[in-house]
Amino acid sequence: MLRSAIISGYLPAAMAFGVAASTMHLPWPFVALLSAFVYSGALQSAAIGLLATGANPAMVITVGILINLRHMLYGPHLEAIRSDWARRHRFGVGALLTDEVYAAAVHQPTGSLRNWSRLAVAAYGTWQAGTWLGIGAIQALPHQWLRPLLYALPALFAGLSATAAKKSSGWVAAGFAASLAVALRLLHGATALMMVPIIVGTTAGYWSTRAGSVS
Amino acid sequence: MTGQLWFLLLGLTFISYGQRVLPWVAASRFRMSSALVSWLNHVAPAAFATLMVADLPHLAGIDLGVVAAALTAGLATRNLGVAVLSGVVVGALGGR
Repeated sequence: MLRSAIISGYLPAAMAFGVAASTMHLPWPFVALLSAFVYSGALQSAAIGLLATGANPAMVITVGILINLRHMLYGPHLEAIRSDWARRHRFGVGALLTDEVYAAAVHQPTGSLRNWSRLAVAAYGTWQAGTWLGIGAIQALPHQWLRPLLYALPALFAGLSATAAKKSSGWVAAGFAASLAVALRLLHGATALMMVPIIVGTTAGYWSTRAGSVS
Repeated sequence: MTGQLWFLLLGLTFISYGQRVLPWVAASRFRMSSALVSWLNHVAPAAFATLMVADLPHLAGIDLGVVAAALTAGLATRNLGVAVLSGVVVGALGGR
């Protein structure tokens, strides 16, 4: 069920990226290679958005580092809960470690590496297929057909929040992070600042655990 | 493709792979303290809540209904598929 939920969210998001990049007159091989090698929706979208404003590659790369800083937390967390996986897997499957694939590992912490790898590969394949569809054929379809599917990813993360925040400290973390993320969006904060709510929420959740254990 | 686009592609590929894999490999070489593990255990709910807000198209109107429906369905059923379906259905109905 998690696999179909992730795929149903990835396909329209990748299609939207393919369509957006194509309308900016970027060469289609660049768009396809970006999906194949970078494989990060937020980073890819920011990159084409910055290119459209005339930003130079150094600026795009700098912003990219900031946008994907959150990924630096996922690996150490997986190491904390699944230290039994061999190191070679970190080099291989680690390249496919997106927000949703990380979510899958956290959602099913006792699941096998094989199942998790299959899901990671399926998600990667879906992202590539969606990008190609976006580049090629999707401009012929009415946009209203796709609009409801744009809610699949936020709905997926809402559902994950509901199931991941099992303890009260988890709700504290989610509540702080969501509140700060809303404030950032209302203040038109840059996507690169996405790391801030995650760090603040995580720390708030951690301190609430400590406060609970002390009292 | 111009040389500038090739340079950009190489740079983004390097940081994308490096940021995912290197911290994981580094973490596997060191023993993490219990405090750090406890802190890391709160990354998931904070990240999911942040991404939920970041991925909403407008953060107003039916977007809030989508979040409410997905959260309620997720809490009530503990089933991710039901949560996603509820959110998408509310989004489709509200967007008409």
